[in-house]
Amino acid sequence: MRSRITPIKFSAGTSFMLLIGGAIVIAAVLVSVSMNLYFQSGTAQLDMSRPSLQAVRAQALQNDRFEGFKAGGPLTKKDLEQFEKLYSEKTRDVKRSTESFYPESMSDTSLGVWAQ
Amino acid sequence: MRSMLGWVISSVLAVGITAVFLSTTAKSEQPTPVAGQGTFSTVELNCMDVKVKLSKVHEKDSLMRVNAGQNYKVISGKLMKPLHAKIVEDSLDGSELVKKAASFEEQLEDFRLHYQEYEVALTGLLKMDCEDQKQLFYTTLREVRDKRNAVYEDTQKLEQSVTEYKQVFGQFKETFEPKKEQDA
Repeated sequence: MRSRITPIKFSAGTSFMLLIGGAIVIAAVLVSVSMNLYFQSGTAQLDMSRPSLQAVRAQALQNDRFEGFKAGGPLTKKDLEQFEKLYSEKTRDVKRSTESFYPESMSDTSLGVWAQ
Repeated sequence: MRSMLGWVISSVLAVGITAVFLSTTAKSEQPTPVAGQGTFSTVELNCMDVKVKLSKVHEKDSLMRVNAGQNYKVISGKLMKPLHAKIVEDSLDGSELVKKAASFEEQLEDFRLHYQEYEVALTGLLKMDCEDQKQLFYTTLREVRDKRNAVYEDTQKLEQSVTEYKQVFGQFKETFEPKKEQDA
């Protein structure tokens, strides 16, 4: 005895709706995957375009203009002098970065919290 | 027609499974404050005031993270690496400089990781219900503070590393002889 599966038949309108629905679901999942990657990878923490950072966005450094040390050619004493100058300049910026994370800004006193 | 329907159904199923998996992963990454942790019988704080102050800290720290990250990246990518390239090209001994640079890179990775943990924890704290759960809020605040202190320690280590590299560079500069003079 030969069994036979009856194919499910949809009207053209239903098929179209299923196609649209499927496309929307797939798009929603792809967006959720992207958002998940955005938050988990650490990119979100560096994203200055977030609305909550609007006030400080303009203060972000633009280091693209910093040319840095040229890698090509033989090393000379003049190169070393130039390196030292550039490095000292950036060392000062690094010291400022350390000061900015000073623990005092989140202390109980700063936040006005009292606990016992 | 049948194949198209099968494709749509299997896509929807795959999408559903992925969505459930992702939401579970995302939930597990959220900070989960433990009730009863810490022994604070009295916690006095103005929730609105504290949250505004924490938002300001969050804002300032986000900016500082970006600026500090750029400075570290410049030191590594635009100063240390080109110098090492020149040293290698001239067949000079820059092993100590490379060691210090490697240590700097490791500390930079710790800084990135710790800041990410701190940021996720602080964002969770800002979303917490402070009015009804002051003790839990305060306990979580202390945890966030610890994570911020870890970031501060990382910046201190990075600064130390930058200073040490400068010292090693000073020694290298003192003993440096240009290649042409050596050849002559």
